[in-house]
Amino acid sequence: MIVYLVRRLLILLLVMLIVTMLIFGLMHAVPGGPFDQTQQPLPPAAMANIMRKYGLNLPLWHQYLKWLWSLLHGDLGVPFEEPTMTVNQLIRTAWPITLIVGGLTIAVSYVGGLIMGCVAALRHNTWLDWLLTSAVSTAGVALPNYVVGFLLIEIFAVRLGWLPTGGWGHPQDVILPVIAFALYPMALMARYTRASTLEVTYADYVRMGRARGLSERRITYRYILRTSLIPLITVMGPNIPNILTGSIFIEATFALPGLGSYFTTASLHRDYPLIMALVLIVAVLWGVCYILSDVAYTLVDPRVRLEGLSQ
Amino acid sequence: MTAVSLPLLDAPAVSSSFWHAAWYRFKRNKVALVSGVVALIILIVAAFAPLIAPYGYAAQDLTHTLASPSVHHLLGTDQLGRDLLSRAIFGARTSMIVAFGAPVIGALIGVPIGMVSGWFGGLADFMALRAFEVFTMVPQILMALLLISLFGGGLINLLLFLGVTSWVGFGRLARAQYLALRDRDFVKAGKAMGVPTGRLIFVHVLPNAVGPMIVYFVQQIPATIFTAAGFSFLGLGVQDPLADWGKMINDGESYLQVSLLVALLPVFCIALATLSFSFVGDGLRDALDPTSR
Amino acid sequence: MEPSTQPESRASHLSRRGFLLAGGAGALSWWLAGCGSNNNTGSSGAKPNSNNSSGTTGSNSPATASAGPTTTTGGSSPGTNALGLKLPDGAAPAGDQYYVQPFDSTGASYKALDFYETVYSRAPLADEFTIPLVRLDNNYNIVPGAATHWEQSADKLSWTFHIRPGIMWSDGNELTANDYVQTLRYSADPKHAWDFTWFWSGVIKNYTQAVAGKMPTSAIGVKQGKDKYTLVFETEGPIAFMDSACLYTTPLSAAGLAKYGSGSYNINPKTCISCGPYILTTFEPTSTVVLGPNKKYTGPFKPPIDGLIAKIYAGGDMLPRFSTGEIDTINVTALDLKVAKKTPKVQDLKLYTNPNDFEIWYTFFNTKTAPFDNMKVRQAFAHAVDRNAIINSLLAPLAIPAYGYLMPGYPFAVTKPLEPLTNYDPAKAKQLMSEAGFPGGKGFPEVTFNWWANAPSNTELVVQALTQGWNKTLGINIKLAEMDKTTFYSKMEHLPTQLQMGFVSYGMDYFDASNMLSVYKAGGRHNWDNAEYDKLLAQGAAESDTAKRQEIYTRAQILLTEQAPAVFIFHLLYGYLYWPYIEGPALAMNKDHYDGIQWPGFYATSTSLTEMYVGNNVTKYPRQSQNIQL
Repeated sequence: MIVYLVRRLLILLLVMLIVTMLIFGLMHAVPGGPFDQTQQPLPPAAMANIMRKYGLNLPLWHQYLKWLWSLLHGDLGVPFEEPTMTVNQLIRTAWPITLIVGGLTIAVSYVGGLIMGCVAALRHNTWLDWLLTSAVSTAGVALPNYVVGFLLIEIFAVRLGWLPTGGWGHPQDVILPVIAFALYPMALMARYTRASTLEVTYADYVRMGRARGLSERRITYRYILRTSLIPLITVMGPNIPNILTGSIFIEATFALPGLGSYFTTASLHRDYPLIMALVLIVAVLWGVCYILSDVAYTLVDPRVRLEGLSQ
Repeated sequence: MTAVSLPLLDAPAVSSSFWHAAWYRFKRNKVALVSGVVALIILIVAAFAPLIAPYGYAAQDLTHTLASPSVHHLLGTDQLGRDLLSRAIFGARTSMIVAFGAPVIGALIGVPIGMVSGWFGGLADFMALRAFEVFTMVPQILMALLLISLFGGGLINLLLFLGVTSWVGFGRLARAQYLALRDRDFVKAGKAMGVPTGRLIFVHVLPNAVGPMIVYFVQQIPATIFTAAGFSFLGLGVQDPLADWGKMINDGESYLQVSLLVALLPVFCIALATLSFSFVGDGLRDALDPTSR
Repeated sequence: MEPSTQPESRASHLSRRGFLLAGGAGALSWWLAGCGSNNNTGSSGAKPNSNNSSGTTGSNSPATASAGPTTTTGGSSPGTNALGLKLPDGAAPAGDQYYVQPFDSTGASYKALDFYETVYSRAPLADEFTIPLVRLDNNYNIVPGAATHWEQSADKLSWTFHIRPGIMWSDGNELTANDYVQTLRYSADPKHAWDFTWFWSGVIKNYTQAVAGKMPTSAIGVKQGKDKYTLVFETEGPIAFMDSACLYTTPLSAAGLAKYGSGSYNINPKTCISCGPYILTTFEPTSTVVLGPNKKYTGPFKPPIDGLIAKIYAGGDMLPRFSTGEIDTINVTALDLKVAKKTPKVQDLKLYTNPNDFEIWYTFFNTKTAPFDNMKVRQAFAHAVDRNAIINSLLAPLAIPAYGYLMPGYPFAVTKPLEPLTNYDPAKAKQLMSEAGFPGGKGFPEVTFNWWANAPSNTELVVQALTQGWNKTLGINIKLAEMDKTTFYSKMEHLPTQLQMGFVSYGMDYFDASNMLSVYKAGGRHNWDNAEYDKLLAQGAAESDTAKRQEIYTRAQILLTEQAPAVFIFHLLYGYLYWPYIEGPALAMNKDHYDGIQWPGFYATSTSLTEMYVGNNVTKYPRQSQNIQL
């Protein structure tokens, strides 16, 4: 197992290196640069001064190598969007906020979704099942989270005054953002849990009907549950990095100074240093998530064979 | 014909009357049937939008913006005085094209890749895993911007873009399913009996594997509509004045306190579509899964 | 699926639960509907939240809550503020004399607090640490600032400003001409790479060459005069509008520049050097900027407000933040107004409107390629816009129709001669199209109309209305194509331009026709070249006689509208809501019947700084306490 993990991580590093090269080229290939939003065009000499100041006049390969060299020294550069801090500082101050909101969202949505899904499955075809599956599940999936966010602010902050309209620094600041953010993953989780539990229940039921006895039930229970857990892991696994990188809508609506919005705005504003740093974060998060999912398959169902993983 | 289940065979091989049985099971599921009808209605409305809608989707009337429902406009008008009912109908067309088109493309690319990598392992699996990683790491907006600069924006390009970027979800799901199922006893039995690999993959394993993929496909429908709406501001995707439910939600969000219909009609439409397709999907999955009763 | 075979008891159990749920839902909706009609402004029903701003992110300790509604014994004098200014009658006590403004950081990058460090990356509350040579009053007149008087030389090639003595920086040095000299030299330095060099290029002598590295920065035409309080500008040819342009002479400290090499010392509270009434307390560009009173201020303009707080939001809805008392003012769009009318706490507040930076929103054409190289086509478009319909349905009351580049109220703006050149006349438009060779629109190619989304100007809806109007009236097919802002500007300013037709705006940089009209000069951001227009602009820039200037600029505006390289649609009006405790002459109506704080805003460059205060009715409103030590 250790060998497998180490092997996957090393390959991940190699992939990351190649991807950073790809993306470095990609972001310079996209038209428009970080200093183009000017109302009046700058005289060429002034533009040249700016490009020189930020090292953007150097050939691409030179810029990439400079970036790589700095990276190896732990220096990710200065973002164009927040020029008064370094990328390291920005990530250090902004990401924890996103992580806290994200962590709470995962806890609430995954646990909540699990419970909802189980309940819906166990009360299959009853009134409660319909409510949970149709209303809550569909609402979570079909309602965009900024609509939910707006409603939450309107009700709890403006009309009732119970909670703040946004901002960060107090424990109550997390409540509304987490509720808004957790709806969608909770609905997803509920759906998949319900589907998995149903398969178990019905397999159970069928076997019960044949009065085969307890031990048979336990075998098939373990059998089937494991099969149905695999799609759940496959779909809900990547949701975790998704949530941990935040959402620009949630952070804008609730004025959270987190990292989530930068994943969108960095590309829009051609903020080259920040784009590269965020790519690294994404790469590590997802790469690790995929590795862990694969390992989880084997844990859940020992019959699953993965390359390089001895039984 | 219901499949006979023996203790050690959890997923028996499929017989030729399997599809008849599946259809029979689907029909008996009342919920799935009703939802199927609703879904069909939505698709028909989408297909015949120009014939059904009372007005065009771009017909503005600047003197009657944000009007309440009336005889002239059954659901009122939007911010530019366009008939909301017509916008919803035409929106069905655009949204259904996007909502189905992109996941279909994604599935067509992803499922075969996942199948092959999950079944054969080895180099195929290695390449597939690397492909998953690379595609996940590249920022979507950058890719979209490059695409627009090379090929222009518009609906077709949006479809292709979304399809190509969504294949990873299908790919991983298919891979996971095939990883789990390839060592089942019924597969081993099939191999021992000399069933060719192709037949094994498609005829024997696929119906067992397809359940979660259907659920995923259906859940991608609303997700795709929202993602599509999110890219329109880059120039990729639905451009004004074309009607699209996702874009109508985006545009209508700030009107929530001014005109409920403008803000919530598209939400209702997407919810209806999501619900009906979810139940159809559930019904399909139950119908196709030989073990579920 | 099999129907459920659940035992009977469970079913009845569920139905009981169902009843409770339905009842609960009904109760909730009833209560929500009733809740909205409460009017809370009478009592402090909406209690001031103990919710504070920037708790953990500030670098200062959240020690004394210096603010929060304090009880005033009725009728007693409010005393003096932290700067030693006696507060006017009716003002709240000194502890309440601060002003909280919101800033939306979407698309912005915050790098510095000084105009001469960066213009496009200025953080909120910039340009408060200095006194510019001149200031603007709320009737847009240039009035003395750090300079008491100024004059143009007889040969018209230089301007001399006389700085009043006795203004001290917080580091003990006196404000002299040298500060201005060093700052302007710094702005021209190629190594500094200032992003606004076009502003002085062609105005100050040798500035362009210095920026290009061809001359040292010491060669630019900014010099100390006969003594340290005399500042001389040498200009490239006669410049009539120097006093207007000098609004933005907000100098950095020469000592600071020498010591730190750049203006970034001003974003660190420990090294901030100010000769203005405010000094930096907190700089957290993702959440807040706080300026406290500069106790060492010796300048002539003491403001009643002695603390400025900027709340920075990365998007999101501002109205709820305003209604809950987090901020003292907001900028409202036409849509916000509709929503505000339904929000109980704010629906009765007065709406203030003014032109802010006198923006013109227009559709420009690529005049060098078909089909818009044909002037008749452009003129046809110019006569096919029903401005009133668009404004009334989409922008009212916050826009007025535009027939030319300059908004009424702006120096040398004219309207009457321009109207017949671009009024809504569908018959004339159709005729012009025929004359251009496209009768009824036949043969006209499909064109692409690019735009980027801007909420205050409701761009998305405006361009759809425009397109619909043109397509219908002229029988053509215009396709809309949205773009993100960066790509839009990059393509517009590309040489040659890559946009066929686009929707864009311009707001002024200083108060003179030479500024706004120069956008259409050859070599500017649009690709229209007209030698006569450029000649007129050059004449106008040099001519000192006001009447003659008016004549010149009238001709220029007529030429611009007539030749129609753009169709001018509307001038935007900015709407503001202030909580009623924000009072003072700064908000009063000016000669053009505009009110609210005028451009350039509550900054050192404006007289509004000394003309606004917090009234003692602040206790009646839900103003949240800001737990910041000023």
